[in-house]
Amino acid sequence: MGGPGASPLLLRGFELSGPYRRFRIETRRAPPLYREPNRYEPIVRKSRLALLLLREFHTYILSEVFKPSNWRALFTGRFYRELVDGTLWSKFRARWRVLLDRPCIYGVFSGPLGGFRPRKDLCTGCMRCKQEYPDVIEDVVWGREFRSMAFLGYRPEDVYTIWYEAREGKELVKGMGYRGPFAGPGWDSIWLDMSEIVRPTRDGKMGREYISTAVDIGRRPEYLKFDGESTPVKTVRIELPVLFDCAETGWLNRETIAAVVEAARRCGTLALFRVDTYLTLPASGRLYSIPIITPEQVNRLGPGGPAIPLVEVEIQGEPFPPRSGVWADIVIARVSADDSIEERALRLVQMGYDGIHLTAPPDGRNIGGARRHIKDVIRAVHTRLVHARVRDQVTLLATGGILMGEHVPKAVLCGCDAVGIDTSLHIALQARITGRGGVFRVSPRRFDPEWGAQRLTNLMAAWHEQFIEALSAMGKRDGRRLRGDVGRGIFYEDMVREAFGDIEYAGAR
Amino acid sequence: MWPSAIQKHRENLQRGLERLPREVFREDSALGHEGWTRELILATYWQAMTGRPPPGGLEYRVGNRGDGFDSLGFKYLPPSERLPEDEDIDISLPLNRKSYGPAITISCPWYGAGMSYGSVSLNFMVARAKAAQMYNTFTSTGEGGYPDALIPYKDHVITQVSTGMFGVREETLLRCRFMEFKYAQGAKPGLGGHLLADKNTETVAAMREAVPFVSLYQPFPFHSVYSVEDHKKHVDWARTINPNMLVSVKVSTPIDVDMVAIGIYYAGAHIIHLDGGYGGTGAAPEFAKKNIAMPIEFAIPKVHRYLVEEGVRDDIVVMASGGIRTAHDIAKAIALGADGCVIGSAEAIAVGCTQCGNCERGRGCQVGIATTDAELSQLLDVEWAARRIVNLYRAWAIELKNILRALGLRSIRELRGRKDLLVYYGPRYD
Repeated sequence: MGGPGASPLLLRGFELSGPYRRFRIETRRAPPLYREPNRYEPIVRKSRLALLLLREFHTYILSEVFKPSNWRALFTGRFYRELVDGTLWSKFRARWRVLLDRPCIYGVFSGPLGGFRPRKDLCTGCMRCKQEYPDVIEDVVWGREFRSMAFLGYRPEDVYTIWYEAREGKELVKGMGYRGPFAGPGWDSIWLDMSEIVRPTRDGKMGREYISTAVDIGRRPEYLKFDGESTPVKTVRIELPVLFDCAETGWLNRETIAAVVEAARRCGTLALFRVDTYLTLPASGRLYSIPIITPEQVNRLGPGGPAIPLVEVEIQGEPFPPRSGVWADIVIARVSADDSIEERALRLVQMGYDGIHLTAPPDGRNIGGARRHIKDVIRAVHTRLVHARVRDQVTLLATGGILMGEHVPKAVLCGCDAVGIDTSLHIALQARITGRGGVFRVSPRRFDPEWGAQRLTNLMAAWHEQFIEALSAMGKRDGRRLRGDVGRGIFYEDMVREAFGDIEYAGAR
Repeated sequence: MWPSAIQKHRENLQRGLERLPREVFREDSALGHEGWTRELILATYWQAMTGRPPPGGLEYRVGNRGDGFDSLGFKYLPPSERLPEDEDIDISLPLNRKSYGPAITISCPWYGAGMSYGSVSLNFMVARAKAAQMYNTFTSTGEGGYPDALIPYKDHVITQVSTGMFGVREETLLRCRFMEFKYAQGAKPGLGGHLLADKNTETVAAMREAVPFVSLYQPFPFHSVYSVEDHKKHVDWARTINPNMLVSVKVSTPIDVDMVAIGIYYAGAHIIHLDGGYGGTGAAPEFAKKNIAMPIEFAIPKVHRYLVEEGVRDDIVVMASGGIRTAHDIAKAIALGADGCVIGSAEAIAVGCTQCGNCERGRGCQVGIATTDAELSQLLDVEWAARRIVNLYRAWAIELKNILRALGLRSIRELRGRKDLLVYYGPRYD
């Protein structure tokens, strides 16, 4: 909602007034520019394959041709009749077809050299070849390159899922039940609730009712005053609770920056850049971007400089810089999540900052001495602000550990308003990622920014779909209603205690 | 007669499935996953082939999920105190605890889950129905209509009515002894069913009274049910059409699943069917499978305890599904508080499923189970498939009886809610 004197960003069409517009993200298929590793590799025993072909040639062709009845037919009219009318030829072709009919329904053995040079890129791991010819097919294994894609908290399947989402613009729908472990640390220790029978949203994900995923960033007064002295509400509305966090400048090149800004525009969200990068953006690009400054860089955005409605100030140590020193409508304090973050966040809010942006390592794990996960930090900060009765006035953002679409509703449920994503957007852009575990390096590649923008737009469309799916299952029509609603989360530790707590414990296996 | 390509592949597949349990696989083999490990799949092939538990070597009791059923074990009696081998053990399960409706007892504490015409091939449906008839249990139509080919097995077929009402007709309700309302499915709770366009062929669409080759999404939830009172009207409607049938209500597992269960009891249903989050499906968003609603291992004790506290536990049957893979899972689910289980994926694996997860495609299933393609469907021979499913049932029955003997119990009904007979190996949170 823009008040008098609000900056262009606040008035650029995201305000609540104005014509009704049902938010949707336009997707278009964006095939990969660089080769994606094969997920599966059939391993063929080539000598046995050659023997199989000979055996089948004998079974389906030779034994038929040299059948005694066929030789006898040479001395009858039938042979010549069938030769002339083509029956013989069509019989031969039918047998040949049976001989050549290969087991793979996906065409892995349909190349010119068949099983001698399988088309591994087509393999879906169905194992039909192994089932049908266990002696010829040694095994179907996970692709070596595919397996090596695991890094940070991503499993290879996660990287593949992000690529799929970026390519198709929709979430992955597959057959069969869930394939992974029962639960895990971090986000995998939360299940989202759903409403069985009684629910306010009648139509669910596929229905006609609109489910809003919009979020307001900024400060709202605790209550309205009608004495003419009230401060206008200063918020920016983004259409989905995801921001593109590009604070890591080493991971950026010109194409990535252009793609991120354009995708932010298309998705109705914002991108975060360091101020040096921000100032290189064209004016149109700045409308969809937020600069990150350090307290020393405050003057770079002062009066006389570009009009900035929303700024993040990166605060590392104390004393905290005063909020009033930053010339912007909305100032968010960007702080590293550590052991004392709850109290620091509260003090920053009390100093007038309009929001807190928690930053964590890219995997969101082992934060501080207590080695907390980002979900626990979000819950702790949210709860602290609730107890101090200031939570509804400010915005809580979090970056680090948001790797997949499923993490967004869980993070919101834990208490933040929106999340920032970093590594996932580089995966979507097919950046070269080297290293293992938490030590890795992101090297952006060259691409057409239009392609990159579409990949990111597609990714957000898929994540938006998942967010709506979570909300519709719960019967919520507004993403803002999920914030901090831990009652709609099913927490692993609680459930183990409740379900198995009275069972004799036999020690970990 | 000269063999067709389909015959060639069918014979090869049947031969291959008999060899696979003895094959050596590589460490990085793509067969299996944490839930259905390679060994579990191969052990299921073995049981489907022989009708007996594997003799040794293959792990056939637990998977590798790291918790849930895979972290539960039994406190077996010392060998000298166990019941003798020749002791008769009763594993039959009465499905009606009410004063109304038919008295139906199945020979084993499990029956087949709903798999709709469209999500699976007709051959697989008929094979399951045949197996259910041979073993005196049930299989379910799922929500895609009631193909005529199932009519000879109608006494062992559950008619499912779900939110899309696909193919639901009064005649099918009049025909059945057992009907099921599906409010939600564990693999996609809160979303309704998905049948992607590829699989919605002309025959499937005709059965569902829908447009061919258009993706079909069931609405969620029933648009005629806004409250528990509406739900009761729903059950009453079904029982008015056919008073001589059992009514089951299938729900998934939200945090308040205990309240849902008591609502189902209040509505007058005979059976509560809880479908946990890790259940199988023909097609569902990966996001929903993993992240929405709780696994069945948590839901069973929650519901059991609540029904006990409300004093109605003995008036209703609780069936559990969603990740039931073995006879041991069934025994653990019953010890946690269920009366019996509903199975699906295990039957598919018995006839060659490898859990590759391509079921959502029209020509995705390599062995003719989860497909509507006319050619691929023929890969599955009905007689052969039914025999393998029955063999799996037999192997499970043997194993279940062995478990009960080792616990000193003479009936599966004595095991219900006996958490004191379980031990837990998972993480502890005091």
